[in-house]
Amino acid sequence: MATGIRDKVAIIGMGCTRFGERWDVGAEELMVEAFCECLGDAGVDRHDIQAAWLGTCVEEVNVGKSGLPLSTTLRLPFIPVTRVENFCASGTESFRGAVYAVASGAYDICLAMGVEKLKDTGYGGLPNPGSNWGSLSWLWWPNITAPGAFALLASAYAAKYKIPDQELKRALAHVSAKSHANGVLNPKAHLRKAVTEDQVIAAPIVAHPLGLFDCCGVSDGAACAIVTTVEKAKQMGKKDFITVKALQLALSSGEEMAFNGWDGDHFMTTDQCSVRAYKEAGITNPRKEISMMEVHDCFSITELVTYEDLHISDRGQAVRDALDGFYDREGGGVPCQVDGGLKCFGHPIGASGLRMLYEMYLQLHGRAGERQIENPVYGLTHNLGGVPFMNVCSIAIIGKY
Amino acid sequence: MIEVKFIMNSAVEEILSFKTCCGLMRVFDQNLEIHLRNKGSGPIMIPSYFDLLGQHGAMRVETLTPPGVHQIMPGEILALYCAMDETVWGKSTEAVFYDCAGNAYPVGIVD
Repeated sequence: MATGIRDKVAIIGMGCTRFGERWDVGAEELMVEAFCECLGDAGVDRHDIQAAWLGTCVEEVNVGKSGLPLSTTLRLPFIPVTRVENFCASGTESFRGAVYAVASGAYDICLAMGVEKLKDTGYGGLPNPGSNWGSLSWLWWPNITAPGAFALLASAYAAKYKIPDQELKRALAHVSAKSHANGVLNPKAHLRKAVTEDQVIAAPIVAHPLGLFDCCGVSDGAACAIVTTVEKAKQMGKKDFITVKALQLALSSGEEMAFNGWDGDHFMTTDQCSVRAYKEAGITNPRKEISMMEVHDCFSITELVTYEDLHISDRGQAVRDALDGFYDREGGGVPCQVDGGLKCFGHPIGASGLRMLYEMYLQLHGRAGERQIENPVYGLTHNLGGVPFMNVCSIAIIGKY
Repeated sequence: MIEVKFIMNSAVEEILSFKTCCGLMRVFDQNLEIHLRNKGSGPIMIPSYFDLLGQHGAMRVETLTPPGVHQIMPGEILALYCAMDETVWGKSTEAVFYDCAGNAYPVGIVD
């Protein structure tokens, strides 16, 4: 009988680079930067790491294939290193590999690293990988853009709940302005200036209703975690450590595209993934019990709809909750994108999931500085890779042991 | 009626200079953001230029992003961006926008 991952694995160290246009460094230096902080935080030696996972997405223009970019960069001494890729969930996927490895008893201490170095490859948005996404995906979505696909989500959501265009734009603007207000307080964020809702609404349209500030940017960055078993953490003298409460993954089966039951207004994956995550973590009322979260705000509409797919806002109520400030850092609800989110960090694909976990980890330890929220218990992270009608969703919940 | 608001050293500058997205041009040094809000009851057509008046005399600023003629619906805001020499801006006292119906909208520049 499977018992889930709750409280079996401790996170004893994390590290994260400053995100941005890191012309000064390559992917290797980014990994080293995150790793050095992580090692110091964990209080272990490089040679204590027994296995590692590397999450990176667009390896063709990035670090390269296989686990070798990680093992050679960090001079990991002939240990198992595995590269994983699962769209925007790649960082969380590497975390999942490391967590399951120590939970299985195969290893005591493992490393999860996520990295992406995209800004000097010549494009601002995500690359078009052509047929590299496989024959089935390529046949099903031959010519789309990410903003176009998520703009359709916004239109479908507004149509279903009869939300006027200007009200939706105002709610989306609040989502982005709220994240930028948080990013101002984060020295590791790429974009650190506040914006007003009016600025967001008036900015150039990319794919209606999504404008410039509704879309996150691409960036460079790396983040990592060192995990061990709860028993080992205690043996190491760790106190007040953080454990994994839930780790779930849900992938589209094709149902969204192939049947009429889906209105195009939400993410079927997140809807189901979150239910499983709450069950694994023992959470029965997420609106009350989740203290904070980092969700995949690749577009502001993604964040808005995810409020509902995480079962924190009721269906059709995300606009109202957003405008009421329920997801603001000091709004009295569930602070979302406390570190600034993808809006301020950009989205170096492989690094984003671990970057989100890093913020939850800092908050739970009370080390988030000006962004610190009061007495957090559970932190949730959410990644969504792909497009509304075909995607990969990962959810992690961590908290104090 | 048009209400004009200037945001010098706008937060949007660094975003426009690093982000490209599906047809949106990457533009640099757009340090001046201008909001034109339509406070009237009907749509207004506005061309992408304005006259800048001050110690330097009068100069027409035509390098606004986006270019062209824009329709602003009642209550809506149009955002325009441009690169503006802060020294010139500091010596300017008035900016004048125009609509396609021949109306002028002068607005004072306050530091």
